[in-house]
Amino acid sequence: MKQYPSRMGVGASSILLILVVVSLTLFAALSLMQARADAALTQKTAESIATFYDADARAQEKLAALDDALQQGASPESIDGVTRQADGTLSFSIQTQDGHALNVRVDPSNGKCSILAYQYENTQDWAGENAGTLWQGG
Amino acid sequence: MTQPMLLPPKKRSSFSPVLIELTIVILFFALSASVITRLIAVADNTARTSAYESRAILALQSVAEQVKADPIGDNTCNECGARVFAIEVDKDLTVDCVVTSDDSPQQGTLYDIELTVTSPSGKVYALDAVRYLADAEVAP
Repeated sequence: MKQYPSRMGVGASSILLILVVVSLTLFAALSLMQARADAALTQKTAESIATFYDADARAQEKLAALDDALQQGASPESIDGVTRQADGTLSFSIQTQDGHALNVRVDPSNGKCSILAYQYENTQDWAGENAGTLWQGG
Repeated sequence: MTQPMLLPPKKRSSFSPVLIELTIVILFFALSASVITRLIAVADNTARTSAYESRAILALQSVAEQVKADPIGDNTCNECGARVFAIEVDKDLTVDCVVTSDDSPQQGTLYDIELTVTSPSGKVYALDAVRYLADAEVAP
């Protein structure tokens, strides 16, 4: 019986293994990095939403305090943070830890607070980050 | 004429180099595969947890806005004076709500809304909201 020599030399399987292992490791590391980035983003969103509802709760409590002050005939400006505008409306701002503010403007003319504006705004200036890794052209 | 030199028959090794290499390669691959599989499993677990958390946050926010729009609801309170109910957002996602009213404001009521979602793994996500409703205000 004639025996044919093996065409696969020593080292071919090692090269194949290295390629396969490197590829699998790369995909696994990428998927782990992506999952961790998603988790971090979700955590950030959760914190942001909790911060908003905390500011919203403080604003609602302040509205209740404003209504009480109006009913008792007390000056609304006596409540901390409430200021009267030139047009007679009252406004206050609730600051949050993450650089946002809930700005509220109410109309006290009929003895109760009627909400005119209830805006959640960013109070920090946006600063673009450039790591210097982008190709600038030329 | 020279006589061909008589050499002893060449002894063939029972383990060829290719076979030895293949054995080492298979062992190394098994080791690498176990590590990589564990890495992928961790990534999958993290992704699933984060996806559930994302859905839970969205559901909490959505239910919070619904309850804030109508904190009184059907006005069915338990013996503690709290309105307790659950909203099933999805098969594996239920938002538990507890609405308690605070009548200390003179011109209205402060409603404290506590929302929780318990994940199948037992992790609890919570969100608290407050709504002030003046007496004359009628919920939409």
